[in-house]
Amino acid sequence: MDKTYNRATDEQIVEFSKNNPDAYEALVLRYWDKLFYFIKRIAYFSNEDTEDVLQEVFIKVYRYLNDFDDSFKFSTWIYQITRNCVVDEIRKKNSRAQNANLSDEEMLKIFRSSANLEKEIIAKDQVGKIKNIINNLPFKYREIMILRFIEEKNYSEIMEIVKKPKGTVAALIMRGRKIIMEEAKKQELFL
Amino acid sequence: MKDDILKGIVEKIKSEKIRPEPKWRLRFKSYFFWFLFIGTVFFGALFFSLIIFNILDLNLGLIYHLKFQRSMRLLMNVIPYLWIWFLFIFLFLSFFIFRKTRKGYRYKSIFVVSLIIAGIFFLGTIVHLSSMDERMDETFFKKTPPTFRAHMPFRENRLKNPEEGFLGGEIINFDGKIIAVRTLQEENWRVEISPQTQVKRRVRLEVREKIFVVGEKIGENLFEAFFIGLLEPPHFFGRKK
Repeated sequence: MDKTYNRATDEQIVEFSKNNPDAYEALVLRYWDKLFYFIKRIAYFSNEDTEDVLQEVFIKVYRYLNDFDDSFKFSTWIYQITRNCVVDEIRKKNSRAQNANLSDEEMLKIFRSSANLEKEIIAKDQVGKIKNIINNLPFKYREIMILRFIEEKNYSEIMEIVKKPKGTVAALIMRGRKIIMEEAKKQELFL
Repeated sequence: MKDDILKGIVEKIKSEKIRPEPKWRLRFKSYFFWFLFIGTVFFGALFFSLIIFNILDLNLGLIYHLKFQRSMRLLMNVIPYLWIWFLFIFLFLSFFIFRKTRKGYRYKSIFVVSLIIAGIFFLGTIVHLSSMDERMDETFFKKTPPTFRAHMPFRENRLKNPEEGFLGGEIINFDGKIIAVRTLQEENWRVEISPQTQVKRRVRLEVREKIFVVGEKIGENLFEAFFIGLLEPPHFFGRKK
């Protein structure tokens, strides 16, 4: 891999890539893993399907480079395109998003953030229940919770990625938290 | 394996000679939605001005002179429901089209709806002041097949509807108490006036004068007048004749 672009910002690489596709490799390398795991987290795709979607994403991003609006971050823009491709793929497969590929740690992170449990120890037998709660969360809430608590995006970035007003994003996070809390109470996760 | 895929993406771009699309082509969709948005707001404004035209056609001051029930009945007859439906359809359309514009998703629904309503009110008032609504009403009337005309909220229809309390036509005789009127459908009607009848200042009640009467049918081709005005386009709302 050419190390010329190591110190360049995403926005600079975008400019270079417009005339030189080789420069684009630096962006692909920079975002491949992040987006790979992002897709795995919000969707239920196999590794092969995720790679296919991601290749499609990078080709699309290259085609649309001139559409990049530098009033927001490149990472936000590429997440937005990725998310759209994932939603299209889910529709194409004509099925609803099933269990997300979240690790136990990530599930607990969402749960802790939702229930405002900073560092409380959660018993091993409760982890399974928590996984169920997060997996049963409707897609619209789950993707926003993942963006907020796992990808650690702020409200403005989430607004751009999911193309919803900031107020709606805040409401979805609030409602998602409420659903998690209610389910946790039902399953007696709180003593 | 991963490296192969990464390299493969750039190779594909090179081998298939994929180029970033020109900006104008990418923005075309957005411009198209803005164009549609402006169009739908404009159509909303046209229907809003037709609503103003229909409502202001009746002297609203008249409401104060009539009994509550009667004035409500008159008002219900004047309200152009069809144009109101169209106004709502275009309001919703413009809302959804705005959401499709490049950054339309960023704004709260309440802000977008308020913006559209403000645009429709502003443009609609301009359309009304320019008399475009009156010409539209006439054109719609002429272009509408006769079978559908009766169901449309045209001003002409209202003046042909003594059963609903409206009558329009030319004075053919006036003896001080009863006005003989030849209506737009070439029917002769007698219109009774009383001291309570409100006659608009510019009405002279002379033969050949064209008037419209708001009142009640009290017999065969006999009408009691509550209000008499000139049969002319409405020029309220600051509009000059």
